[in-house]
Amino acid sequence: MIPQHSYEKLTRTFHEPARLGIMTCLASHADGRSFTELKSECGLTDGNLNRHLNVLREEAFITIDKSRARQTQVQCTTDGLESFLSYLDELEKIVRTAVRTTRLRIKS
Amino acid sequence: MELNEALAQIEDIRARVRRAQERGTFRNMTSFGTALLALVGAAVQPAAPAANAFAYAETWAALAALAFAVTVAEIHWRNRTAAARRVANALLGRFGAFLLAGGAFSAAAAYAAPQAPILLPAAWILCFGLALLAVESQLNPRVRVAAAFYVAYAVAAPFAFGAAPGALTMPLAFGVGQVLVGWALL
Repeated sequence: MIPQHSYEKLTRTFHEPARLGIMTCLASHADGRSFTELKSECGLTDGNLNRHLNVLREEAFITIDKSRARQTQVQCTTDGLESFLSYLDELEKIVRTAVRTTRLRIKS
Repeated sequence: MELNEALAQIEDIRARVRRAQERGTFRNMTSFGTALLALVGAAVQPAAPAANAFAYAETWAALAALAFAVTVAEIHWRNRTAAARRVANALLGRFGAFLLAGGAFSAAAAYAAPQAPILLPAAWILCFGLALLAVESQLNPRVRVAAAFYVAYAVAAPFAFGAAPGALTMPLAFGVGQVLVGWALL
């Protein structure tokens, strides 16, 4: 039996704010984003973005295509998208539980 | 951070992802287009469905396959990148599995209960509704309305039409259902 508060779908990889931003951006663009677009949309430096992209790539949540002459293209994989959506579901569940608990406490 | 603000942010992310998914997969105009196939079906189906259950099933299975093929072709034509096609294919694969299950169950119902041919369209319509529910999280939540229509129609059909499907059983289900899907994707 899965413990009530195990939250096993709360993937740690997405928990970092910068990676959450990167995944949101990639999941919102089915055909991916270029490195430059990601950098400006997520407000990250080259080094920081590189570091987070490597973490996501190691988990096979994204692919990085450097074959284009001038642009590096980053795309979300199907597994990455599904894991990200599961992560959002789990996160929402936790926040809703917290909202309910807070309301109960205020009432009592 | 306020908890309600956190919830709003999660919903905002989900809405953005949903819009991207929707753009990459089903289009409302394609759904409206497939709804027109219901009219074609009404014109070409056997005049007495009850007496020609197999011809009736074949007609509608062919139209359903045509509608699915048109949808797949349109999605592939519109999505040129590998990643977008991967996402669309994952959705179509999930959707297609339900359609195949519906077709297989309809065939089994035709073999096991030939005295109740209404089970053929009812089972297939039910699976179509469940297929929409299976992909609903990646589309617009309004798709639930269309899914609920299909499921409710499948359950109500034997009561409304009796043991045999009538001339309007499939045209009504497919026509209204696909218009609702098109509306959901607007």
